[in-house]
Amino acid sequence: MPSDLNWNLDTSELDRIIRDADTNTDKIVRKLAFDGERYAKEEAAVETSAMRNSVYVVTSKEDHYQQAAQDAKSKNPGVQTEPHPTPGEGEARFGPCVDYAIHQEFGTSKMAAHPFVTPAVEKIRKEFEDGTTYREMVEK
Amino acid sequence: MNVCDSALYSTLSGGTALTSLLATATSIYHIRAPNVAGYPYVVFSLQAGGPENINPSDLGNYVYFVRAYSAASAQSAGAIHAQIRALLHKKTLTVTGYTNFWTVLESELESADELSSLTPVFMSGGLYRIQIDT
Repeated sequence: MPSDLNWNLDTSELDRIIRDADTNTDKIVRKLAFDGERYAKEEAAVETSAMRNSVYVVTSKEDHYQQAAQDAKSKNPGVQTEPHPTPGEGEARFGPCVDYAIHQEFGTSKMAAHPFVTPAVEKIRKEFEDGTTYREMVEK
Repeated sequence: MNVCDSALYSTLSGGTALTSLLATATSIYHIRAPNVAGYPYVVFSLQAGGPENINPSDLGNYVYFVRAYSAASAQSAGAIHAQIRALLHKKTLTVTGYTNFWTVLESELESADELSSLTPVFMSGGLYRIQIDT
């Protein structure tokens, strides 16, 4: 019998995960935001297409507001737009920038809601929680 | 109506502390209120979600938007929202054919819109996650 027992802990895989964590987080957040934009555009009610065109992503590194606002105004010149707040490092925001989108999403006292952002959030939540996004972005 | 719609309506309409704040004891509407409905009233509607399809049972994960509208004041709408919260948040709904194992308020919202008469109508409500399984 051996006189002592030794464990050799190989941390190389753990080191790799920690080393890549910031990069992977950024990639995953960015993918979730762009998936959210796509799903919201698929679900958006369309009359002039301005609201659908106004859905955009902003991250700490890129901002598609000017293009989205221009695309919305090309379909409805009178529409008012407002940019999303600037996200912090490792964060992303997506959603419409036309002023009336909130009334479509949540309805009013006299109009039913026609949600398109909440369903998009639910879809990306599901993909994040079941590991689909991680597998696509990190394990491919 | 799906099973959660019925459960929500039963729970809300059974709350006398809630209905006593509304225009009538039946001023609770699904999707939208009729044009002739008097204020205040409650509206609930499915905002997102559906079957999870991750196991053999019929697991459902829904987000409902339950809100109060009041033409009197934001405080009035908020007081009704507080009663809705007391009936739903962390409570167990009776859902026919299912077990409700999770009902929570996840987000709170406030806003106002204007009637054609320029009278403001105040909204106070929240997004509730309701999870059920067979």
